Parts: sequence; C-alpha cells; structure tokens
Amino acid sequence: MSRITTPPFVIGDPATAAALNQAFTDVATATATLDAANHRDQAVDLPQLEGAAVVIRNAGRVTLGSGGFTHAVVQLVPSTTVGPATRAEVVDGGTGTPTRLGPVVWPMAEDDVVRVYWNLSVHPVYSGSPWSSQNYGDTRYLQTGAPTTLTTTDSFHVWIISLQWDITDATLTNWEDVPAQGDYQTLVGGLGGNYGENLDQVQAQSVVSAWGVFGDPATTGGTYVGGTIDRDQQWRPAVGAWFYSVTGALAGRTIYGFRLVVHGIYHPWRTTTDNFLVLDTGVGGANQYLEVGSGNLVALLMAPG
Amino acid sequence: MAYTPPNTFTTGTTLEAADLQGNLDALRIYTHDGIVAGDVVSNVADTRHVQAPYLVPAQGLQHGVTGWQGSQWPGSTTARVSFVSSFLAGQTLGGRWHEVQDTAFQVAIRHSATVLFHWWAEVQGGPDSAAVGATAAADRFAWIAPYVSNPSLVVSSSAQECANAYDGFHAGAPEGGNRVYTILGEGQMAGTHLTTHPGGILTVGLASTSSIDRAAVINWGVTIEAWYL
Repeated sequence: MSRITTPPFVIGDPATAAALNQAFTDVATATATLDAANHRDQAVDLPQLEGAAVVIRNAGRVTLGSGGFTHAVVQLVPSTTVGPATRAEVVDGGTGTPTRLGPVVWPMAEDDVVRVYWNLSVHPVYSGSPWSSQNYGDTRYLQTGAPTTLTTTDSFHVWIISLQWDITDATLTNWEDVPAQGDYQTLVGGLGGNYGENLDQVQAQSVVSAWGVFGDPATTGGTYVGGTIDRDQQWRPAVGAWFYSVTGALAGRTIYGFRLVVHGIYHPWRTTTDNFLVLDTGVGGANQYLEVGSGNLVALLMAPG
Repeated sequence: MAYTPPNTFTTGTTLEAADLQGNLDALRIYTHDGIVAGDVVSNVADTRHVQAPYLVPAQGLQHGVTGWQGSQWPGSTTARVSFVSSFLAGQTLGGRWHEVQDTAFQVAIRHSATVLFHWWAEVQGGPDSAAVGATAAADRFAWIAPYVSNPSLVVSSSAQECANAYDGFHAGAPEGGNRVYTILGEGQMAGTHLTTHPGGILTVGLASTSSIDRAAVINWGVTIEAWYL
C-alpha cells in the first residue's frame, strides 16, 4: 500500500523550505505507486468486513483413505502394546500410498488464519473382552445369574486421530503436530507410568470410542441375560477441525502439507491438577485395531482484507 | 502520471501565498480527475470487488463484496424429520442418492469463487428387520454426503454413515427395537466440502442413500461460504 509517513507540521516548529517541499514530494511519490490496498481494500473491501480474514490466500482439499463410502478397501491401524504409541498416517488401504494434502506452498503472514477440517469413516474392531486386562478403566461386573458374572468396563477407551503439518520443506518428511496439539509421546505417569497428553494440548484431534459395553436388560426382569453385553461399534464418522491465527515465529514460515495420524488405545487419567489421555497398553493387541475408510481434508489459509 | 507540484520552495526566498496555493490547487485537480491508469497497478479492483450487499432472510444468507455467507438449519425447537429410506435408494448397498430436503443452497455466484460448504446431521437408523431387504443386516447404513449441482454428483468419498440398530425388532409383544437405541442406530455426522466455481448458479446441498428401510434425519445444519477475494 502506498502511504505517506512523514509527520505533519507541528505548531511552534520553524517553517523551512525543505519541509514544505518534502510535504509535496511525499504526495508526488505516493501517488506514483497507488496499488490494490489503496483502491480496493481501503475503498471497497475493508468497510464490508473490517478486521476479518476475508481473502482466500490458499485453499485445498484431498480425499483421505480409500474404498469409498461402502468401505470396499480399508486401512488397518493396529493398537499399541508398548508405549509410546506408534502413529500411523492415513493412507490408501489398498496401496499404502499416503493420502495427504500437499506438497503445497502456502506462505503464512502475521494475522493470517489457518482453517482445517476433516472427516473420516472409521470402524473400531476388537475381539473378546480386552478390557479384562485394562490398565485404566473402572472394571465393573454384571451378574448374569448367580454366581456367574461378566466383566465390563466404563467404556471410555478411545482411538485418536490427530492433525500434523509440514512447515519445513516440500519433501514432506518433517511432519510435526500443529500448535495446540500434543504428540502423545511423553511419559506422563499413571498406573505404572505411561505415555499420554494433557487435555489442554489436544485441540486438533478426533476421538473415536473403542467399544461400548452395556448391560442387556432381561425381558422379564431379574438378572441380566448372558452373552451380549458388548456390541460392534460399526462404521461411524470421525470429524475434526483446527483453527489457528498466525502469530510470532510462525509468521514467515510456509505450509507444505497437512496429514492425519491415527493411534491408540487411550483412556482418561488425571492428576490432582490436570486431566490426561494416556495409552492403555493393557488393552492393546493384534485383535484390537481401527479400520479407516475414506473421508476428506479441507484446508484454507485466509488473510485480512 | 503522478502528482507533480508546480512550485518548489527555496531557502532564503519569500514564501509566496500564490505558490503555495498553486501546489494545493494542483493537488486538488490531480485528486479529482488527474489520476490516470498509469498511476495504478493494473487489475486492483474488478467487478467482484464491487457488489451490492443484500440479505436473503429465508435462506439465512448475505451477499457482498466478499461473497456469500450464511447458514440454514431446521429452524425450530421441534425436530422436523426427513426420512431417508432404502426404498428410495433401491434397497441395495450403495444405491441411488437422493436429496435430503431443505438442505441445499442455490446462489448466484457473481465471479470466480472459492466455496466452502459445511454440514452436520443427526440421524436415527432403524430398527430394521433383518428379514426384509436384500442387504445383509450388518451392512445396513444410512449415508449422507455433500453434492454440487445435483444429487447425482455426490461427493461420496466424504459420506458419513449411521449404522442400523441392526438387531432389528424384538420378537414378541410389545414390539420394539431389540437393543437400546443409543448403542447403535444413532449417528452424529459432519463434514466439509471445498470447491471452486467460475460464476453462475451454484447448487450445493446434502444427499443420502440408505440400505436401512427406515432412517430419519432428525436434525441438520448447513453453511455456505463463497469467497470472491
């Protein structure tokens, strides 16, 4: 934007020919370089939505996963049995090819706004009663007929799908978690110690329930009927969004890509001051995995008008 | 050409009012009708930057220099159910897509635009008797996905699903679902679709296909952002 920055005349200061000439020279210089900011933004755009990021600087969309909506081809993400969790990128389940947004070249400037949205179809799979060996979770028992009982759980175990970006280069080999999203790679303690993340650092993730265990009410009253106390969670949506106002050291950096990573299985845990999600290796195993189908990721970089 | 002051002042020379006024007059003339194309970087503003703002209350939309923005939802505290049935989809897995009523926007795009469409829906699927229909009980879902132009152009890779409460109906009186509704058969869906449009009429909305005989969209919301800039 062309603008005049010379201070105005001040009462009491001596008038000089140089200052007077400079005043007119400033106008001559400024009017030789009028640009979009002078004519469009200041005259037309900003009065409409002042202060908002209303200019789409960059935008992109990518189809995640594979198999279409009928889940014809899926990716299997295994659960972790030894921490920290292995984080698997969302890929084409048939070829193993990563499905990510990029490489792109989206330079970020101060006050830009980054918006990312994603949705995926997922299916948490398990076998038997993995919660019987859980490290976390309130174990409960249902009486299905004296003295028979079935072991149940609080059903708070979850899978995590979290957002990463590459702001290093277009090789897309330097992925890092976006601001306000932790990596779950830190030992935070818990029963026997385990890896997890403070809930104040989980602002770019989706959470998928690993299982739901419930009592199957008897039709005639009395004890619970045996057998069916847990149900296949079936295919279901996993949805997330992340917003970031560019500031500080990240202004001047460039976005080269976005991707999602999947990991689990976690359970809530707490200290006296904070809440966490921690890895429960007790329920992990070959028969507990997350099927990932298809979805899409949309990202925008918007600038103030 | 840029403004050029006609007079230059010299130290030690009397400042003449006429000279100063001459510079100011020249500036006034330049500002009023002296700015020529060469003074301005080309293409700084075109028709998309000059748009009359207006509001479309029925659709919850507003239009202006930046484009279209607005949202629509069922609009009351009482759920208005839209049924999405396998009978409309051909009673097969992955059958025909049809529109979910009231969930589409049709807007006049004045200039090339980047369009972002957000949606969410709450769906109740089933119960559906396993004895009816050609689809296996475990393959019964109700899907919702965004479409652009018409439901045949659905973005099926972005579809979200609600599983049927696939144990079906309880055998015996009184009839009802065989399992608790909230365990399966309740779907919270959401998604976002990004597209570009060269200008003209744009229709974007939600479509559904279902392999569940009876599923109901009991709440939904759609938002459109069309950005010219």
